[in-house]
Amino acid sequence: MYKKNLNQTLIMFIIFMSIIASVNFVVDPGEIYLKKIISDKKAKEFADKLFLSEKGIIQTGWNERLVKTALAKSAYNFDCVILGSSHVMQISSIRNTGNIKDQCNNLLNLAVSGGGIEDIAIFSYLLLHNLKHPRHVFVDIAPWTLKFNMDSRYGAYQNYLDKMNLILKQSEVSEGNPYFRKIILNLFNGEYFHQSLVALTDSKKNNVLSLFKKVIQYPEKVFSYEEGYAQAVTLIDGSHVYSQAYIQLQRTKQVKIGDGDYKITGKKYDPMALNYLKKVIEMYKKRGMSISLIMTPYHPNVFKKGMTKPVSHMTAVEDLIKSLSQEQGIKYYGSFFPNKLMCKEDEFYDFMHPTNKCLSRINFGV
Amino acid sequence: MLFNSVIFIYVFLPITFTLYFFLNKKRLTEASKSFLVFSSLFFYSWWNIAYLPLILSSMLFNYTIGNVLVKENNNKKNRFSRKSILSCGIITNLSLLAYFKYTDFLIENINLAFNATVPYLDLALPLAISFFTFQQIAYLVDSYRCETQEYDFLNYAIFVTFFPQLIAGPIVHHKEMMPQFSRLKTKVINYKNISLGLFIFSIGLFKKVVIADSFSTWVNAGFDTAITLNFFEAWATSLSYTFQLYFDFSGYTDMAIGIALLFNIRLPINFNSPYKALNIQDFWRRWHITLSRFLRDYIYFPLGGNKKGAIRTYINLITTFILGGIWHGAGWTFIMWGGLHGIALLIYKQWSQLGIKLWSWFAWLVTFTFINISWVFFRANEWDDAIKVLNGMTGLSGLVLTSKFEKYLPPLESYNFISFGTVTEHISGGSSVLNWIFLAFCLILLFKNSIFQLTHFKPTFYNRLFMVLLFSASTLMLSRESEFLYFNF
Repeated sequence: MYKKNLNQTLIMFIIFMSIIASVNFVVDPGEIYLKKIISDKKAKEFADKLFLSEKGIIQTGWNERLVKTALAKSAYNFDCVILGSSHVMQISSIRNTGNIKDQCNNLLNLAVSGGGIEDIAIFSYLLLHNLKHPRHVFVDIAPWTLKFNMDSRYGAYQNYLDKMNLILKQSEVSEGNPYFRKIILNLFNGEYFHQSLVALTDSKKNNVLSLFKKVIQYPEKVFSYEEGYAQAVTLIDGSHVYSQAYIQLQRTKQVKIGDGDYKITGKKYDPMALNYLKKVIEMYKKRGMSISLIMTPYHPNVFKKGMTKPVSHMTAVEDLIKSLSQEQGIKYYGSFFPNKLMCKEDEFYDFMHPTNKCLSRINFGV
Repeated sequence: MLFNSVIFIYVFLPITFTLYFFLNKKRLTEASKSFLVFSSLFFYSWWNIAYLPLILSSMLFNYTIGNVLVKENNNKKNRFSRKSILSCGIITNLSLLAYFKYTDFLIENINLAFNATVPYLDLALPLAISFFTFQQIAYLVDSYRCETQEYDFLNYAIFVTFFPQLIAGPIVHHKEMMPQFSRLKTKVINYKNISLGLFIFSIGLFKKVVIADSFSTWVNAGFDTAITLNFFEAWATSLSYTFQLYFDFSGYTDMAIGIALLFNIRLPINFNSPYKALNIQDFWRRWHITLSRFLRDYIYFPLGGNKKGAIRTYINLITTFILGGIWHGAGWTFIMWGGLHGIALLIYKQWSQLGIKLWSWFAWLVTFTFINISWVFFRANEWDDAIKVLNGMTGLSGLVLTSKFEKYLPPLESYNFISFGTVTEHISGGSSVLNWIFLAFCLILLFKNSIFQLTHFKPTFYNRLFMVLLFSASTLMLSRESEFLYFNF
């Protein structure tokens, strides 16, 4: 009786877990299973067409990291690359942000939202495996860059991170959790299943069929980069232009005094992450590529409450970056502090995203 | 290795189970025992192999002393008295525990008292040291009392290291374990025990990964992160910890009982719906039963128990509880926690002599509230953290009402301590913390506990479904792997 009970329990459990794994695999809200297989092909198409486009491609509906990895793999004829977070996503050779053209005629912007040190490593790996290496690499430093695991979205590309770690001989970044094991375990992840159920009930989310139907759209008319287009656009160099609606909405919003709390948790920096960044810098230098670091300003209101937690983190990270630059003999551009660049309150979308006007005050021509 | 990890549930446990019974089927009984000891030591070393020599030498030492005590009993020409051998054994065990667990606490107090700057040792606490030390002290005392037999080292090693109870108990007696290991029935696969074991393991796993770990977010935010807590936040924080601790530790115990059952071993129960207790004495008969049993048999009774008059009884009680507090951790907050429980028991004893009966619901409320408040000291990392939470609970840090009430109760804002806003802002709880607390109250008060479920288990469809649902839900949450609270003690 009990043996039969055990067998039936086991069968029920296997059926139950198989259903969950299948739902996760097919609905795939993080686009790491079935959707990744389809999306990879589509992203390659996106990248190829972007480089041939005139006004860029409408970005809305495309996974940023997916598109940027495809760009990193397919790019050719570029001399500089910019890596990092959304803070630098607008820096563009087309817009000649901060006279960047003085240094790079063809910039490729591979920055992604929330980009952390893992993203920097992932894109660095992809760049190393692109037949044409860039001459110069700009790395954006956000207040969270010198810590690991500050944004989990890199997880879908951890296979590249694992390979990069082998090159750098650094295993602690992936916490001994190889990509394949992680991806299998994630099929049985409750939070992922919850996201799958949300995606199933949300018609706005991409389903698998819509991925097949996904078409590449170009802006229909010439538009001002300052005012944006009806939808967000990725320009030919991979840089980002926010949508008209977003830009207008942000203009009406006030930034709270003392704000700035985005990914400001725990300690100010992790010495291991700092060491990791050093290894990345040394790797670039060893392979004959020059590298420099960028920091972009936060809104002036962030600093009006004195030494808040975000401000103390920014101060510590900026000091570290200054000494790292000195130690490594590399340049750094910009600052977290708006007064150093003379950025005004109306030159920001929100507390941490400067407009092109403010970004242009970082003079890359120097 | 954690019970709530993929590696334990899907790799270590199936392999150990299969090989253990395979060896027994081949009649390689000694090999199967050796394999179980090896597996348990492997399980222990998974955290840090550096501590393996410590547990091995502790076992070897206590086994030798225990054997000497048994042999010396028959030897009339003793070179050393049995009492001095026992004292040597106990002192060595306690010194080992004190060295790892209490040295820095002692240094801290010396520095504070004499304004000195003695450097800290910063020793990492070896896992399970409090548990295996106590278990072996009990063995030595029982050997002295001639309540043990002469066992071989392999049997003794199984008794100490048996992995289901090695890390955080239940604290077992050799006399309830040794006979089980040598029984023939233990060596044969028993499908009933497997069903029961998996059933209670699923309940325990669910308690830990779904319930306790959900509370941990608010507990950590309230105790460790928030600078100040308003009235509702402080109560939400303390209640969250009260439930986290219970579901975490009783979940662990259920898992331990379940795993042991797979190997045909019955571990003693450790929890019997403690939060249903109507007085503090009742609580200690239901909470961490095996520790209470140890403290009673090996501290309270040897101190004289209740046989030396009322005053001595009270002193013995408070001493036992303070020692119980210190056993849990090196810190004044633990001593305070133990002391509070000792005093509460003393007050209860006085009260019960008056013969006044309280309404059951009131008795429960008083008991539960006291326990909830005392856990604040148990959890707080520092004295200030405890004060912060207690200030909030008494309303000294203000009262925040939801902003929905603002337009209906504007005059309230004229009182300085009342304001409107997000009620649980500092613990990032939103409404979910209140829902979880309500759910936890329902679970502890309205439902039968897991041991009752175990003893009344029948292999029906609904039980199968219940088990599969619990196990599946828990498996889905295994990605947020976290340690058990009692691993720190």
